[in-house]
Amino acid sequence: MRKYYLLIGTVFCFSFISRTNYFQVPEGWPQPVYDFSKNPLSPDKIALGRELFYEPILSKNNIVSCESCHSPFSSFTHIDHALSHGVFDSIGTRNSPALVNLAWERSFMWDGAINHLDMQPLAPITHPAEMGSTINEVVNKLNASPKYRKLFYAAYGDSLVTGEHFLKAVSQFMLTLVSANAKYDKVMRNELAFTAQEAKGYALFQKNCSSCHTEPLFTNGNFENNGLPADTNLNDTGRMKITGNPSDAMKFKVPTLRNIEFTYPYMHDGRFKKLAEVLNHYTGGIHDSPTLSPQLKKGISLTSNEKVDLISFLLTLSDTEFVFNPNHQYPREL
Amino acid sequence: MRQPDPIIRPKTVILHANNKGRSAGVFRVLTFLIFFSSSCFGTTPVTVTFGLTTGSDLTGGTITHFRSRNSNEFSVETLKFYVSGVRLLNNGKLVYDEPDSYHLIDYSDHRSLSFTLVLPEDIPFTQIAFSIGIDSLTNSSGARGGDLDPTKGMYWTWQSGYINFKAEGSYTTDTTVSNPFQYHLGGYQSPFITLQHVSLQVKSKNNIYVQFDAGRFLEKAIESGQQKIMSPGEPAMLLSEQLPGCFKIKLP
Repeated sequence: MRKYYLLIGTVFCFSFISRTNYFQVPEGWPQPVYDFSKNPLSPDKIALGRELFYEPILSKNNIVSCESCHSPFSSFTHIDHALSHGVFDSIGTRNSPALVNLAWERSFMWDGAINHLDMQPLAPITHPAEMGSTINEVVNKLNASPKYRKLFYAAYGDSLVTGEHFLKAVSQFMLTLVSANAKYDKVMRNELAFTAQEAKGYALFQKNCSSCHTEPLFTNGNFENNGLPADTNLNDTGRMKITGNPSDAMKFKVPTLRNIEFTYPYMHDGRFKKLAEVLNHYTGGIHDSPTLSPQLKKGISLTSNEKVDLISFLLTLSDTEFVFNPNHQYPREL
Repeated sequence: MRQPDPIIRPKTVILHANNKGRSAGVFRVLTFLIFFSSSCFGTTPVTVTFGLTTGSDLTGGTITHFRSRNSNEFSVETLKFYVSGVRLLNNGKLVYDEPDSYHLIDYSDHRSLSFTLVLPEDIPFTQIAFSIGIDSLTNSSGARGGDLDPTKGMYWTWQSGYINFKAEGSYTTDTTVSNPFQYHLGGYQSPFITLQHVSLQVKSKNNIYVQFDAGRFLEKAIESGQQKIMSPGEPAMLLSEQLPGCFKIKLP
């Protein structure tokens, strides 16, 4: 009987892989949150989504694309800028998050304002400090472009650009941004081994960090107050802005730590430039408040050697194959 | 923008055309299918049309004026809402449930003001029920097309969710010249759920004419002291609760 189940399981796995061979669930990972049956991946749709991701006409002044704040070489974030900037040199109030393993995300944005990957592009397209446009303006521009009429026809068999087809195509490209080939992953697959220092760092990580930055995604997808003193200029209350519930004050979504080496600066407002500053915050800078994450109430203590060990582990989360994947870069061939 | 196809075509018709006269077995199946299709063709169309109660005037496509009880004058530039989950009941028993039932009613576009339900013949009904707004599952299931396409202007961009009901314009009173109002009612998450359910007794068989009492709604809105509601929350929920009482059936 057990063999029978195993056979069914294997057939099911194979059928899943053949159905979505542009997207594979890495070994040992949970099933994705995204419902692929509502937007089945196809090479034409992924190519269209990739083209749109790098397309500056999505913005009011035709200068800012998704890539402007989400560059592939930095694991799709905006490095060197604490707060991301958009059209007409306007500056937003938050640090752009890395775009990685989005198929497993239950909500989007630092405050979870967006409930589905398909709907995520609407926010930056419309925000006056990001792309400053509207979905209708974008759809009209794309409909006026012979290049896009052709690409939408190739993808959907319909050259008319609709909001639905536009959003689903962008989702298709974003869903392919899977990072699962860092040294950490190779160690987990028994292809490589940690150095002694990395192994010590991993043990420290599991003891002090993994309840929120849960493996293998390195986030639990929840909202937490990690004890950052409020920036009185930005006055950002985080999750409470969305729920209106004071118990959500100063809570932000736990970000993934994958590719953290490439995604500086850190935190929702980009206040820390270096990983060492982040660790110093967790060990000595926690600001207590009623909504502080319970895991941080008792405090984390690390010696300076331990901090170095922990950082050496965090660097094993760098996936250079992901960062330099030619399928993710600017689509020159089109 | 293309309009969504309002006709629901029975799929069996296509099968019939493709497989005509292959073998006896197929023929028997076909006979059944033809029977089935013809019974589909014998459907009763029931047209549901949305209008306004008397006292409200829909002129020029976009501007509507109302004079309410308290002699306020409303000038409405935008009046749009979602009608979803349309059902017909016979003495409280469900007899028809429209599949994939989402209709954007936009008073500036007369084509959007009616839709046709296709139900098998001779199903009597005494009641129409529908919701004003979009259910929570649809609100959190990603991009949709047709009337649910985000280009329809009924989707919030800064926070996911459909705008169930939108009214924009201005009003004058005896003492003031022009006060703008904007009511964007939506929100699908507890505790501020804005989806509303309407149930109305009907008399006619083939045409159901639903009237919206815009004057009554706007009076309630002004009474609430809010001139602008643009996000989910308690004010949106409370004003949404006024909506079901603003719909009635125009008797033939």
